[in-house]
Amino acid sequence: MIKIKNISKKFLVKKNIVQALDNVSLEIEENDCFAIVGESGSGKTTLANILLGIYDYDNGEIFLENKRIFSKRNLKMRKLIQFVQQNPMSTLNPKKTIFKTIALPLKIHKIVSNDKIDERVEELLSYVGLDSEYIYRYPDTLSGGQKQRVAIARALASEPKVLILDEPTSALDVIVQSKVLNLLLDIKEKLSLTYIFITHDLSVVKNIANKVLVMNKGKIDEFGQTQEVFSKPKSKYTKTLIRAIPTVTDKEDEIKPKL
Amino acid sequence: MSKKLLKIEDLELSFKMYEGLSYVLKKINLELSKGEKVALVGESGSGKSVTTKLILGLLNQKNVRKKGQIIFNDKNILNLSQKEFKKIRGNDISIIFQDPIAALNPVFKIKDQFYEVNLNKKKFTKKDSFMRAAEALKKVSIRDPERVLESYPFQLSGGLAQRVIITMAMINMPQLLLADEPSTALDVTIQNQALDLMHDLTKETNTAVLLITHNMGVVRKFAEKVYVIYRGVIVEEGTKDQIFSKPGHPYTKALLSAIPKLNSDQLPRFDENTPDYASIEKYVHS
Repeated sequence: MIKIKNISKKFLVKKNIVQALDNVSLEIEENDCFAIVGESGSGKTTLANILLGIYDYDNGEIFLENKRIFSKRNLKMRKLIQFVQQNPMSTLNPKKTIFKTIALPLKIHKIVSNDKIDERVEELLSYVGLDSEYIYRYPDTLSGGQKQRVAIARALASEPKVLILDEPTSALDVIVQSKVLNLLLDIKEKLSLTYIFITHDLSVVKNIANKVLVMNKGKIDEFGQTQEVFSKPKSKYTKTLIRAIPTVTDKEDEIKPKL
Repeated sequence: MSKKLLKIEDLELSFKMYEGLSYVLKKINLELSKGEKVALVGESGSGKSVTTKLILGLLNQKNVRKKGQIIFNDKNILNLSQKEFKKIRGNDISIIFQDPIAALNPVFKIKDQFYEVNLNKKKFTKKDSFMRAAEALKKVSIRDPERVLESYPFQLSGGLAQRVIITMAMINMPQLLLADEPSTALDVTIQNQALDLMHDLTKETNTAVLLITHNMGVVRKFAEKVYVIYRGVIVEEGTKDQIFSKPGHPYTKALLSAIPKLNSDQLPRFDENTPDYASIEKYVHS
């Protein structure tokens, strides 16, 4: 689905060079739930932004379905990869109703004809478990979990194949988080999507991802199937990360790797 | 029973709004002994942060209605004047906030911010204050305290800033430390360091800690006693072992079961239609 070959990205901050990504190569297959984990500053969000075409990359190559992609893309390419952000409070336009927010990508990408937009918006809301009564509400009147659901519906509107989720549940309470994560899994199944899941919450990763990429200072520290990485982490950094996860039962502590 | 350091009795809080009173805390009871580590757990909007604000006397707007008692060292501090509170804040009770960079004043160097805290204790000269701060920072294994003291907050990393904040909060050896989501904004590895540091420093001075958090993992690592708060009502209290091994209230059970576990491969799914879950709502509204 997505192939990344030797990608590097530098930022120039005043006179200092920050190597945000250093020779990163990876391959994401169709229907993967591909988790990218790492501490802040490890380059995970930079990688997502490059995939989305927000930044250009310095060297390397990215292929989406065997076609090379750059930061400049046509509509057709853009619709394939969509994005759900961390903070549901700031990602929705406060002056637009939910209907307008979700209808916009439908119009831009000409997904349905104009007279069918109402119907399609309601359908998208039903995917994320919201009633059609919400369509004329403003974001202010929604709770954090509901806003995040709207953001997911908006990302689904253009019928993407890949969804990049940047900490989609970190701003939510645990019970709401659990509901939203379950919802995301259901949607993935139903629409056979590929997820790129960026997070620092490793217990969530363990439960939903099939592959994990651990990043450290712009480099790939470890990559593998989720089971493998958690049961037999190779690098010391991954071990420290897993050991640091706050847990709630003794059984979880037992399976943590020893240094 | 040992003497209680802090005793909150039937504390009620409401905000006067356009539509009428909005009730935020409904008869909260909470106790802390000297040197005890207590956690107050709840989700956003449950009233955990306003509780710390009341303890510090930071809620004085005209639209605030408060009832009940907050007894700190045998004295009701709920309705003290700001002048009297000034003597308590930073000396007897201090606080650590969620975002360490936001908690520091961006236009003053760290040494000046320490100076202000030091003055609470007694009249220090700038030089003595610098020495005192440097010594305290050295104790929390900051290798070059002089450089840190001469920096502005934005020059510090999140973990370093949080260590500075914790040191600043503890430098006057308060009897009570309020920690409002002290590790939420940090990476997991640094989160652990911050918690360990808080643990060590408070143990040394026998300071009691009221930890406000929504993260049950942090509670399990740090606290001895746990209060669970839901929509302004304390729904359950108990020792750490009780809460984690035998949670009694349906809300506590839901809270614990909703956390993804490291030893499972599937997200927990719970049904909102179970009688257990429905009874949470009933309990709180009754």
